[in-house]
Amino acid sequence: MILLREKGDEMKDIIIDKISGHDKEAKVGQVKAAVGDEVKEGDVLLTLESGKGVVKILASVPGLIQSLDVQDGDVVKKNQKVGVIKVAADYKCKKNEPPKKKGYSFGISTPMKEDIHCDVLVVGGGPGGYVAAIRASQLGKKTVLVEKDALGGTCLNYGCIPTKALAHSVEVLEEMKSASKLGFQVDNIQIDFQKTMANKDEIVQTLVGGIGDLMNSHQIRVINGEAVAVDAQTIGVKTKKIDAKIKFDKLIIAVGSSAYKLPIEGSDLCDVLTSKEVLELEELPKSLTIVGGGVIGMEIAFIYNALGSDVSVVEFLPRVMSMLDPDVSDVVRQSAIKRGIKIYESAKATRIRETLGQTFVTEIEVEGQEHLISSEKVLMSVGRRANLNALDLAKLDVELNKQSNGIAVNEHMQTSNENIYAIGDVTNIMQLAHVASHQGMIAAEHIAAQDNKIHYDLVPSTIFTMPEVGAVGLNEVTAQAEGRSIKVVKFPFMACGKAVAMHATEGFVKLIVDTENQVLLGGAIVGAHGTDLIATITELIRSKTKVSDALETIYAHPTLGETIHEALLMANGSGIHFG
Amino acid sequence: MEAVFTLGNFKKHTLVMGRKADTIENLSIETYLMKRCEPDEIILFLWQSHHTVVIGCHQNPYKECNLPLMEQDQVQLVRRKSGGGAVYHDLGNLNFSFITHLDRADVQRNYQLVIEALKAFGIEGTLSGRNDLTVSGSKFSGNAFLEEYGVHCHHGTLLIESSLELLSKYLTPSKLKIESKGIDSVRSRVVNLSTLSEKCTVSEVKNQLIKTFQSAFDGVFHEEGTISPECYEAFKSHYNQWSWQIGSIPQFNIEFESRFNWGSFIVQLEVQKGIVKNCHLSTDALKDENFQQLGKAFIGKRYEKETICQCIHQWISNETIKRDLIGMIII
Repeated sequence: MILLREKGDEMKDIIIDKISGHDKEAKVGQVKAAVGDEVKEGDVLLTLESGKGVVKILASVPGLIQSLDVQDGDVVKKNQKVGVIKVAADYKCKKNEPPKKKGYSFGISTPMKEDIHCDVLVVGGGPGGYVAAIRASQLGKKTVLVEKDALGGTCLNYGCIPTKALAHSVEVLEEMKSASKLGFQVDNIQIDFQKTMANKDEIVQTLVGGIGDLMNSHQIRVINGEAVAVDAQTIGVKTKKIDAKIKFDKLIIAVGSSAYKLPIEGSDLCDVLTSKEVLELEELPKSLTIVGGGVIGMEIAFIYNALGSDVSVVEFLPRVMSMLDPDVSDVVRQSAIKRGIKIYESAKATRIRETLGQTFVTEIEVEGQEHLISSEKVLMSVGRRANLNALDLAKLDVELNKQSNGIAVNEHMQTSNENIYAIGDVTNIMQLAHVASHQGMIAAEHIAAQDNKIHYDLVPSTIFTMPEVGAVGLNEVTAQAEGRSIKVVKFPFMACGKAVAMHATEGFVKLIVDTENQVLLGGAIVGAHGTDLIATITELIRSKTKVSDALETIYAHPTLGETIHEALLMANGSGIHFG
Repeated sequence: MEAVFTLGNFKKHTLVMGRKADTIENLSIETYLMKRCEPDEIILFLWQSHHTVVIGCHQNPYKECNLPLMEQDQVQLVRRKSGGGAVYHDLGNLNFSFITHLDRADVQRNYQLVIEALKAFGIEGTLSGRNDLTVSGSKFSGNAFLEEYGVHCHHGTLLIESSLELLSKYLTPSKLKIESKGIDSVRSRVVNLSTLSEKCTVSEVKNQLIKTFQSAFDGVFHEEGTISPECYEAFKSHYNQWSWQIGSIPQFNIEFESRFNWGSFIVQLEVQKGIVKNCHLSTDALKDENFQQLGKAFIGKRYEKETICQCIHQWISNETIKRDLIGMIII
């Protein structure tokens, strides 16, 4: 049960902040408070038992219990959020007051000094850094990884994985909404947004824990803290617990990127969100304005639209998802419009203002005309910038690229300092998790004297909109701009039996074929499971298979894979079900 | 040369003894000591109880002990604030409590102290995975922990000359159909320390624990003796409250089923915080009794013998059925 929340109320999470002894989980002994109860600071909310020890979880602030999602006998984990307190209006937050003087020390005032030496030091535990660390360790290097936040980095904690978890949730929701035509009456669907978000958090936690296990099993020491460049051979990490100087033979910088906000008036208002915060909302916003109609913006638009928010997308360029061919992006665009997402293209956001009612007005300019969009929340998804200030690069003798927007690297991911490598978003080459991981392996292998190089011409990209998009290789627009002689074929999902059976007839498979040698140059799949299906096309391009050879493969019926088969048949001029 | 046994440094290590063999009084003294404990102090409190079953904070006595038998033998039931399972105390049992501030809490150190003291009797105790102290797999000490106001308490029992026969009788619950969300006791094979060494008596173990405690720590040793009643009297009421003893039972469902000459009878009750939340009766009895009203009458009432009997008296007129129903519902 959740009480209604009004604007301006301050909320405080109820967190399992302690568990007896060193246990990681505990059984809820007794829940002492209930939703709607008035509590004082220090009141017992619940008791926990683990390993015969009992601890009490107390109210950290006075107020009204807004939600409390545990019952006697439930198992809870440390740092789990179990509810929310609406903070009493007259409560003055004490967090800015200096802590009370205690007559004794907790024994953590002096961090432990440590001198560490390692073969490979990785700074940043995202999909680039942790993969690099594993590969380095596999190749016999003594490896240390420093991460200031959570293992898994942006991808796992604030990006791909939470987005995919939510995208899956709304996929189920959409199926339920349309179940009646299949003969299933699903009435009165209730959306418990907190639960949807909790499911996402649990998925993230599982995967973060998994990376921790991988680090252990590869005997990689993980130090939690912020890395500071001391000199070109040394990185320092200082926290409450440890004061370490780490000497490295080789360093891999994998410090990632951060969401960027347009430098317009109002973009620094604290309720103007980035992709990180929009994936951590506690309440479903009634309305959401998204500035930036790229991949992230459109994915978020579909998720919140499905959950019931009124979503508007403002795109500066003439069309959303402009990295795709217009016919591909148009399928997604039409689907968005049909679902009630408002799309403003060639529109420039000029200012964001907060109203008295704590909603926001986004001012946009379309063809010289000014328009106002009012919404509860605003998301800025206009790209990500490399975290070039995370380390003092001058001290490390590491130089930036020509545009000064990323660290310059060669094809082995080596920087201007031959002992230092950089991988992932901080290089600003292609800001994709799978590129970072691949770069990480290349860097670690080069350190272990394996002469592997990276190629970027065959990186698939995936977009979790409705329908999904998978794309790889050249698109039609680029191929034409390069003056290649190409043949373009498109096979619609509508002509595929499996897609019809799934009521997933939106979209098509598009192939770009080089007419000179009948080999695929690129492809895009917009439609159900397009992100999964693109792997087949990627492999056909990589192996430079002639269309006629590719046609020797039998595709199983009834599957969505047949759409690729049919598109290949069309490219060969021998389509059966279409064209 | 004899090796010096040391467990580190406290500004002050304080010894306190219980006055009476009264569990509620001694647990109240423990609470008082926790409130009073100084930052760099370790307190050892040694105490005993007469004829008591002490259950864990989150336990259901209906599930853990034989209440009818305990009532008959006038065995007290007390719920403690720490976790874990049910234990039986009598004068053959000695209890210890180690109290320190949370930042100085170290249960391994406390175990070491107890194990060291027992070496004087030639007993080599070992710690089991379940926080029990054992000898050759048999348990002689159960331990539990609690944290309150930044202070840690580790207390435990020591079976020295206890009646294991009574222990087993009281800790074997009557066969009830019960589903409870709390913490279940884990049955262990137990042993009295006196059977391992003739010298091992309650007073000798007590002396040895004091000796070891006194010498194990650097710093000032403070022998406080007993605590005067006005210090802890106020904490006693906590343990006597119905809301603590019964109202703290985690949610449970209990079912009674009996066959009488007037018919078979099943009562299913759902009890939350000691209050009957739901009740379902079924019977094939032909007697013209108001069973459905009886079921409704239970709801919202305290789950206790008096109240349940009252309801039965109010709605059932046949004396045999009354007596049978009161007899079958064991509270």
